[in-house]
Amino acid sequence: MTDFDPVVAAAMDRALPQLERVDGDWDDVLRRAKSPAHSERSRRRRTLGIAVVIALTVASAAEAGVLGDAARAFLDVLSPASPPATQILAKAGHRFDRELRAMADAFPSKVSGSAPKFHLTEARQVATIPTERGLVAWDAAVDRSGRGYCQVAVRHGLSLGGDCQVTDTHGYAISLATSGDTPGRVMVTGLAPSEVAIVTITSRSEARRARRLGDFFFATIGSGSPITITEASSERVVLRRSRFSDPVCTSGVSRFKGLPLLAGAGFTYCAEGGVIARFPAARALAPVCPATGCGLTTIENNRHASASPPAGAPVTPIELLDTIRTGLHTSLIRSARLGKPPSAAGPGRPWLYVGLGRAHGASGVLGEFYAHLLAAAYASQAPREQLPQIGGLVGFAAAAPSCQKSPTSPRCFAPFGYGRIHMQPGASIGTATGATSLESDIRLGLATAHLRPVSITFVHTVGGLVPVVVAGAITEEPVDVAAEWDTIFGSTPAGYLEIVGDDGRPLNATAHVDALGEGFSWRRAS
Amino acid sequence: VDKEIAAVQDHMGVMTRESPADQLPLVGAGRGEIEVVYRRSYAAFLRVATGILGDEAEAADAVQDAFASALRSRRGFRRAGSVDGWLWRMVVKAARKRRIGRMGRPLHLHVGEVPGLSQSAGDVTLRALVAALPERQRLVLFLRYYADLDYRTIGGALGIRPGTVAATLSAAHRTIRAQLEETDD
Repeated sequence: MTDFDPVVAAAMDRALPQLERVDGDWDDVLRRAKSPAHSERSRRRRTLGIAVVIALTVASAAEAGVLGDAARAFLDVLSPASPPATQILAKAGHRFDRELRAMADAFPSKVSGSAPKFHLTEARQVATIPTERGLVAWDAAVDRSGRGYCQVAVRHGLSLGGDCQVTDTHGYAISLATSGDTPGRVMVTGLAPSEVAIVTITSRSEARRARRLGDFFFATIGSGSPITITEASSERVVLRRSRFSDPVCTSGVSRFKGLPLLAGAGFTYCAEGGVIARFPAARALAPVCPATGCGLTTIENNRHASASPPAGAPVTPIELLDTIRTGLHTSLIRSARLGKPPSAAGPGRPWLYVGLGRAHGASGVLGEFYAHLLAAAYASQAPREQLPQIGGLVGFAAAAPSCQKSPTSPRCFAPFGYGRIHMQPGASIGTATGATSLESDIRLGLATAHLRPVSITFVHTVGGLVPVVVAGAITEEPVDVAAEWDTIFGSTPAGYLEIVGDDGRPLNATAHVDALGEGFSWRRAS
Repeated sequence: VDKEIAAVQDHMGVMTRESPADQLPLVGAGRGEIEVVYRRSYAAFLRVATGILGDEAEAADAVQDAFASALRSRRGFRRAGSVDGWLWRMVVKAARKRRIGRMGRPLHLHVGEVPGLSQSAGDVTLRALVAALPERQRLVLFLRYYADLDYRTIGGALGIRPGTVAATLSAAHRTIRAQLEETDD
């Protein structure tokens, strides 16, 4: 060959002689492929990352007390016990933590010492509420980049770590795929039998440039027939197909990898190979999983699970939410999302709904959704006998100043968190006389503040009566709720005030809950 | 049975399919394919990586990392070129990254020195000559003489056309021969 120069070849060979017969260690390659942390470079990177996180945690723990969870979450990403780390996953996870950190910074600064901190774990729980409407879930193994990562909020496909937009075959949006913070998890909502959906997953790189990771096709078919879920790359190359030959695996509410899935009568879940699919249920359905099928041990039919917290036992907010969620019916969630605002819900229900913080005229889509969800959940679903045990829920959402241009962006609305207000067993409910007296005081305060009452509701808690007031603005002048708070509520230790415009839409809101059970105090600055 | 078939298909480099009717373009590299190349050409991979890094132990680590990376991303291999070329690209990339990371500056290749091996003055001269070549010429030389690759595979490894490989190699030959003849004189 003319390309082979014997003189050069001899010289090159002298410079670096042919190595003796050497064999590589293929097993070592396999180990490294399974766990990238085996390589020295990866170890160094991990060590550096951990050191950075620890430093950040220590530096900020005294300030906010929230980054500790971010650090833990980040460490989870770095942990060798986690699934094989991919570049996408690590970046998305880190970004997710940063976003939540930013959300936490936007929270009310006035937090009492005994107040429950806003933890990332709680935020994630909250953020997965829309996910709970998911009727279908599967692992989204993404071509080339490892596993997909999605964190999608309501209405917009924008996410903290990636986008998951579900469209039908005509390109119209059906719903959002929401994955919470679980890497590689995508859920689809609102699919009816025989519908076909395409889930498009994109990630956001460090340069905030969306990168399309792949399309995932999903289809449901009628009861009793096999179902096939196809995963495809962005080039429409089929990566994997999962076929369900037995559509009846479990009925009722399922739990997948620790995350409860909402269901109800009328749907059946089948899980196989890491995929959970929804099937229309028949009356005669019963768990008929074959011995080899439905192989996820994490699936539970929580119809038999305890639906209520144990009386008198301390229950964390997450546990409380889980309890509510597992008792929800899918259709009720929809109605909650589109139904009446919580402030218009009927009086007499011993519930305290989620408040929606507003700022700069942005509409609180996400927070509103949470509010409706929890309000409907509690007011409509909690059995009567449980009501004395669950005093209520409090939650907030805030809008960032940068959200004026795109108020529906989920980035604009950060769930503040939530807490449980304990009701002591056998505690006395506030008397009508007390409510009447308090209402008179509030009406007087409203008039003094040049507000007109729309509705005044009282929530009975162990701490006393909690007034929930919706007031209309008499003029178009902006109302400083924080400034008017004392005028309206006086010395009342707790309450919620929401100012609405002529169209009934909230203009401003604030809340101050104190000395109620867990004794937290949040008050949003106007 | 389906899982076993899928495992075999994956091992052979064929993506999972439901039925013969689903004839799809072949994508991805099978684990078996990668393993075959690894076992067959490990010495060549190690030699080229050693040439780039100048350290055999680090070169071996780079080769292992490169193949591990190839295993993880094998489904993304589109088969636009040969598996060999794709794997060579991974190895060269891994070695270059290590070199850059270690030196903290752009790639500066050397013909490696093997510890314990006596080097003549001519070898030292050749190292200097090769080191003075442009980066692409050096890599082409390594892949041509240490790995005995053809133009197509070299092109696949470096992301250039075979014609460019030929031109680059020819330029490297001219330079080195001229310098060697000057040294002999």
